[in-house]
Amino acid sequence: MTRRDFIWKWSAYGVALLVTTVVQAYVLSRLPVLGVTAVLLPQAVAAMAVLEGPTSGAGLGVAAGVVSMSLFHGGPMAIVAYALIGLLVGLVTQYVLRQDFWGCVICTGVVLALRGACLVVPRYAAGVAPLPVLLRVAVPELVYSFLLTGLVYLLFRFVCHKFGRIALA
Amino acid sequence: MKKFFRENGGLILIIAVLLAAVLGVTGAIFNVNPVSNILGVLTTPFRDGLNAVANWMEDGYNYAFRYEELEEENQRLRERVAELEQDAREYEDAVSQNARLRNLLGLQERRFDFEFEEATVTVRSSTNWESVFTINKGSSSQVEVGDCVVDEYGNLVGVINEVQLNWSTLATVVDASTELGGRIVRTDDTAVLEGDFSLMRQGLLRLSYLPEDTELISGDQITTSGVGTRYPSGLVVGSIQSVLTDDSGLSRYAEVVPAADLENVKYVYVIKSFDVVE
Repeated sequence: MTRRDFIWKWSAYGVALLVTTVVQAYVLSRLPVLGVTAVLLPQAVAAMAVLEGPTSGAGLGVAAGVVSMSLFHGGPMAIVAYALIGLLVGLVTQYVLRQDFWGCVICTGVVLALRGACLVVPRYAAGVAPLPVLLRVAVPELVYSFLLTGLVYLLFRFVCHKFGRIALA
Repeated sequence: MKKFFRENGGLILIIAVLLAAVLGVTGAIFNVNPVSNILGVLTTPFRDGLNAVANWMEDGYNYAFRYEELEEENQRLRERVAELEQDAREYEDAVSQNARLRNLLGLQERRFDFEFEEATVTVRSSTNWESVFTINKGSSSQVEVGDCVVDEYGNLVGVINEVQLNWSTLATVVDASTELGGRIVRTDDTAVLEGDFSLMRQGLLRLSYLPEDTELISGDQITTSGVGTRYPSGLVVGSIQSVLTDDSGLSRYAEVVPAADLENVKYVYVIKSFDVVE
């Protein structure tokens, strides 16, 4: 890959991440289903990791973590968490599953479930609310977000075809 | 093993950990988040533009599909304006009388010392786990953490909890992190207004630590008490919906409906400074 290809590739994926962020923050926030809104950043990181591998997935994870910390009130650990998601999803799809849509769907499902657990368990342990109340938020959020995985994957696959691994292969 | 991680993103992971540590330490010690600041400044024009587009589309939808409903609402609002104009005339008389009485008692007038900063709500609760708004004013407009935010009718919307250069976030009155002193207007008793996660999903908040002999009725208005001088007193928070007993059966609490229309409020006013009145 030449330096120019590298710049084009990461700029294109940066734009894709920006689009994903804008849709999550300013479009989906106005379209709640059962009182909850969807998240798209985990799917974006998973799609990148599936299509480009663990290193690129971790790299986009760092960017997604910075976005999450800055715009969605996530803490600094969001950077590490998203980088880990990119790394692990890339490794799993490269060596265990397949680097295709179904690999992305399976990994995204697991990531969203883990994310839900990380949001529910501390709040339940701290006595913020009873478990059924927390699950009434976590489960619809997981399902709603999961249903949008395909759209995010298609966006990143488009970028991959034009500027990424598939284009450069 | 070393080669495996070197070739598969191990270096990126190390960079991520270091970056998170630096940003975490910077934020904890110096209370500064330059990355949030930069990203917020860069995305503010997009946020404002998209907000304008979304509002335009929402208005178009309302015009196309809710015209009759809007016409009826318009008529109701016209009647209400007429009533309020009458009330305003009576209020002016009462204000004059009140001012004379205050002068007699030596009380200072409170509300005229509020310094407001008008702002627009650009993003609502971007996550499902908190009730937080983002507004388009920040430190450049002298907004500070802890400032109260009210709507155009003076109803409390929330409290500023994060400030950046040209944007801020406020936790609304129903957010689980909310905690401030409340006063029951009718009985003049004080209690504690708290956010509750389960009530937050219903758009309500909780009034706790009620005095034992207090008799509350549905509709009782709750204002800020100003105890502790952190927040101004007299800001309308909401009204009581119901009085319940907690799980232990030992104490009561009330569910409070916010007076501010949190679903639709667009223009808010940050109270940047106020004088404490005894």
